[in-house]
Formats: sequence, C-alpha cells, structure tokens
Amino acid sequence: MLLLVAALHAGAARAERPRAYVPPQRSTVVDVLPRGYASAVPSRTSVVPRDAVPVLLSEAARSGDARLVDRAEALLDRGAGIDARQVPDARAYIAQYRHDFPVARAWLARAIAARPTDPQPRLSLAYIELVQGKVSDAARTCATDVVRRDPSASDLCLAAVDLRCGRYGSAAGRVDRWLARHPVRDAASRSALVLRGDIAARATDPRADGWYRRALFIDPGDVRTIAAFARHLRTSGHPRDVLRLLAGAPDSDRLLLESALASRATRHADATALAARLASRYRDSRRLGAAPELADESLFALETGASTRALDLALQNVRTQRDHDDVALLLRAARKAGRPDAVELLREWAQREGVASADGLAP
Amino acid sequence: MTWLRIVCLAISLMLASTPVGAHAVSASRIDIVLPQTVGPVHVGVDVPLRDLALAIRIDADEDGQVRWGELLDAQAAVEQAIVDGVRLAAAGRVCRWSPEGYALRDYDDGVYVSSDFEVRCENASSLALDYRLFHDTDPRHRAWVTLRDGRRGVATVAGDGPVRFDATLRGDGTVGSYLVEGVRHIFSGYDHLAFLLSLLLPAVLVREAGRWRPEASARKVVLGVLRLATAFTVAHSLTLSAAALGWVTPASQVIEPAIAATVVLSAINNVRGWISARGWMLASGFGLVHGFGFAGALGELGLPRGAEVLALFGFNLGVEAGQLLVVAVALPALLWCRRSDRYANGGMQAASLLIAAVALVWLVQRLVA
Repeated sequence: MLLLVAALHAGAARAERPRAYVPPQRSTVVDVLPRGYASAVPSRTSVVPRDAVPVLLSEAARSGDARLVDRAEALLDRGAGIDARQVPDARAYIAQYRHDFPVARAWLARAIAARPTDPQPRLSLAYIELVQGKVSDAARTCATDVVRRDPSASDLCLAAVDLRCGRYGSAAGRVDRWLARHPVRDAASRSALVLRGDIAARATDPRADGWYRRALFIDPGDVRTIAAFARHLRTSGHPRDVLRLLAGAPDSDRLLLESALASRATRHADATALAARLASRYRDSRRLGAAPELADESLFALETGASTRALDLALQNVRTQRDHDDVALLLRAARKAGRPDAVELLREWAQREGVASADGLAP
Repeated sequence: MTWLRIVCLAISLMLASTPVGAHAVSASRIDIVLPQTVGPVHVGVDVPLRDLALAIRIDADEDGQVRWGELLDAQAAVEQAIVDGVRLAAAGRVCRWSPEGYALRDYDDGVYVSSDFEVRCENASSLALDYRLFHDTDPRHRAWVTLRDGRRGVATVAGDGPVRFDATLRGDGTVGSYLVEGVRHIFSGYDHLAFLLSLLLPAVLVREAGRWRPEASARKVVLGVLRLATAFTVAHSLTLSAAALGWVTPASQVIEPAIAATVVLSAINNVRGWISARGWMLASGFGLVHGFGFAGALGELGLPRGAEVLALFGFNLGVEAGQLLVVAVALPALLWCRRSDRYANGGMQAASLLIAAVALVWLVQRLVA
C-alpha cells in the first residue's frame, strides 16, 4: 500500500516542474555526455560521419540510451551515416533492440542473402532464436557451415546454446577456448567474459564474480556488464554489493530495477523512493507508447508483492521471449500467485527444445 | 568493414548477456498556463539536455562536458528550436512566442534545459498543439503536456499528431477584448462605482444658502453630469495612460487607500457641501487617483507587446462605456427622486453617509493590509 501511495505521489508530482536554477558560473559543468554522443552531435562541418549509425548503435547497446537508437534510425531513414550494404544489419539490430523479433529476423534474412559467406548475421539470428526460445533453430544456425568455418563465431554461438540447455561444462569450455584465442581486451572480450560469468553463475560456480569483474575492468561503464553482475549478486544473496556496484552507474531502467530490489532487500532508506520512481517510469513508458521490458516489470511486481500482476506480465513476456530467465520468472510468479497451472503451456515446448531440465520443467 | 564487426559483435556477443531494458523514453515537459482573463499564455518547455545536445551543437569545445556558458551561448538556437518545434495555434492562426526565461531543472532522469515563453494567441475556444521537436532526428520523441487555466488542469502526451485542448482564449492584441475588460473592471470595482455614485447623487440638486434644493431644469442636470463625467474621464485617462505605459509607477499600497479616501471625502462633501458648484473639479482631481487604480488592473492583465496603445485605448474605452452605463441607469432614477423634497433634505445625505461608511471600512482595510 505504501508503495502504491508513493507511486501515485510520484505520478502526481510529475505534473509539477522541479525548481529552476541558474548555475553560478559559466564554467559550471552541468552534464557529461556519454561518449557515443560525439558521433551524433552536430559537428562544425555538418557532415554525418560514414560510421555514425554503427557507432550510435554500439553506444546505445553499451549505455542503454534509447535516444541513440532513435537517432541511428533517423539517419538510416535519410540514408546517411552508413554503408548501404550494411543497412539490413543495422535495421535488424534496431528491431531486436525494441524486441520486434519478426522484423529483426526478416532483416537478418536479407543480410544473409546479401552476404551468404559472412557468419555475423547468422550469429545475430542465433541470438534472436535463443531469446525467442527456438533453441533447436539456434543450434542449427550455429551448426551451419558458414559459422563452423569461423571458430570464434562457432565457439560463442554453440556456448550460448549449451548454456541455454544447461550443458554448463561444455559451454564453459567453448568460451574458455575463445578467450584463450583472444588475449586482446576489447568489446568482444567483454561480451565473452560476461557470457563466461553467466555460465559460472548458472552453474553456481563461486568464480562467477571474477569473470564479471574482468569484464567490468575492460569497460566499467557498460550497462550490460553492470546489469549482468548486479543480477548475479542479487540472486546469489548479496544485495549490499549490488548497491555498491550501482553507486554512480549510468541511468538505465534495468539498473534502476536492480537498485530498487537491492534497496528493498537491505531496507535501505531510499527503497520506497526508488520503487516509486521505477513504477513511475514503467507507467510513463506505456503512456508514451513504448512498452517497458515486460520481464523487468514482472520481476518488479513480483518482488513488491503484486503476484497476480507479475504473473500476468510474465505470461505476456513468454509469448515473445523464452530465455532461461524468462521461464524462471514465470515459474516464480506462478508459484507465488498460487497458479502452478500457468506454466503448463511451456512444458511441451521445453521438452521439444531440450531445455526442460535446465528450466525446471522436466516431468 | 571494421564498423560492421563492431555492430555484429555488439549483437552476437550479447548472446550471453541479459537484455538491458532501454533508458526511459526521451520526452520533454510542456507546461501551458492560460491567462485568467485576457493576456498572454505562459508556456514552460523543459527539454532533456541530452536530446538538445544531439540536435544542437552545444558542446562547442567538443570535450564531452556541457558547461553552463556553452548553454548560454546556444540559448538563441535552443529557443528557436523550441519555437519551431512546439507550435501552438488558436483559431487556426499560429501564436507568437517571446522568450522570457532560461534556466535548468533537475528531473529524475537527468538535467533539462528550461525555457519559459510568453505566447500571444488569437481569440479562440480551443488551442491546438503540434509538437514536432526533434521530429527529423527522433520521431519517437514525445512531450508530457499539462494545460492549466486556474480552475482545472489537463495532462496529455504530444508528439504523435496534433493535440487539441478546449480552452477559452481571449486574445490580447485586440481593442475588443480589452474593452470588455474595462467594462468588467468598472462593474467589479465597487470603489469606482461608489465614487461615481457619490458624484452623481448631488448632481440633480443645487446648493443655496447652505441647503440643497432640487434643480428644476433637467437640461441643466444632464449638462452638469456630462461635465462631471468628462472631467473624471479626462483625469483618469491621463494617469491611466501614464502608468500603463510605464511613465510613472505609483505604489499600489498608496493608491488603493487613496482611492478609498476619495470616496469617503466626496461622499462627506455631499453632506457638508464644501465643494458644490464646481463638482467637476472634485471629479477631475480625484479622477487622477482612480486612473492609477485602473492602471493597476490593466497591469495585472498585461499589455501585448507591439499593441500597447491599442490595448490601452480599448481598456479606457471599456471603462468609459461602463461609466456611461452607470450614468444611464442612475440619472433617470435620480431625476425622479429629486421631485421629492425628502431627497434633497435627507435622502441624498443618508445615501452619501452610507457610501462614506462603506468606503471608510475599505480605507481601514487597505491601510492595515
């Protein structure tokens, strides 16, 4: 009830403008722009860099800043900031960023048709198939000759499938092999290290922290890494560490969720305010026509006692996303709402896709 | 294709990463405050600084840090972007914007650049908002809009097609709207009515040998009233214009009690007969004070930029029209009353004392306030 009142208060407060202020000096720094903004900010020459779209998309993925995706899309619409041959990949990325998987797959099909020997569009396709719960399709995509000919692509692709199916030893081996071949600490290594951390976390390997920390060392500002590490810390019972990790982290709904849950678990003074802020953001997103992350909203509802709402959102979520966390969330929500029957619709699918055991849906 | 590898890796290597919820959708805040009567619409537009930074070259030294000085340098560009992107129209005609404030506000999702505008619109029963800020670079950008008109508030989202608000707008650039306000002010300003009445009460009488008696000639009465009204009009027009155009700015703490005092004095004068033959002098002298009072009311409405004189003319005309209406109703009644000796020998004095008593209360209230 307190949460509801706080959320309502936050909604009402939105109508009121915060106090206006004028900084005391011209030299006062009022904001520090994320690094990707440099490629999108109007320049002296007004010429759009040739790589503006990929740089914007890369930074959007790193920072979770949706406005960069929107800018990239606007550039694509104008045919600027990108090589025409790469447009399908960028379009696919934007679609999957917005969870519009059918459209993303359609663009990837065009990219594959245009570059049949390039493994990258197939890797992207495998990712989407995994998120959608089409695990067998993802395994087939990873096993295509084009992907298999590139050991780096093949290892990561199959590691992700192994992780999804609960074959943690095999998954860890593939990623370890990949890391051994890539001593350079770059964006690719960061992603591989997060994957390795996820494998360890799922296998309840106490070394999971180490993998995440190594990924953070490469890029401390990457929201994907921070979110994955925060989730691991929360689910392994270390909410205080979550708060320490997120102090000064970039603004992102996902990280705000982790903060709100950790604050609640530790009975932190900010817990109510954070929960109200998050509830307000979800509500605002819907009103602005941008559906929030259903899984995140469901988890938030579940942790704040709104079991029925959590189950409803989790059921909506599994219509489009059936990754391990999506299924686990539905199981928890169904249990808490006293509706164990709600997971029945997934049993046959889990059996067919070979994830029943990993997802706790084995008969 | 290095960049392609970046994108593809960003996609494919997220295979193992939890999808990260997107940042809250980019949205500005627009606060529209309608005038209580006539006058400009006040519009506050708060735009996320990061959205502006992606549309306007704010970070001039390109060091990734936005300083207040850089925002000040970009102020004209920011305000122009807002004027171009936030279109308000009334009666099918685009409203005119004038900037009146520039600052920052901290919302929970970051720093916003806050620009306030005075917006002039035509008379209309609805206001249309077409929000196109950043439309070319971010078609998903939206705005939270609140419209307040004192009695109620309406909240909505703009950015996906025009939004229409029901709102009674009385345009501010026309003589007509200010004329109506002038009339309204006379009928809602009881002190002016009381003063006018105290001038009119003895206008149907003549004072001889220290006593009031009825004026036999109706023609003389009408001419006398015309003289009074003209004197009052000329006097208050002078001070109203001088104050409204900013040539003199008397303090309202002085003017308001002074107006009440003029009512007390003119009403008591009716009883004592200090000034009886030259009532027009009283009207013009005290009229100067009342003119400052009218100017105060006009000041609350505000004068439209570029049309100050027209609006002033309209308001003054309204005040005169209101006065004439009062005279048109009161004079026949007084002419009728004068036929009775009791009006000259007690009725007029009693009415004057009543006015004086009421005005005395106003005087005390205003002095205390």
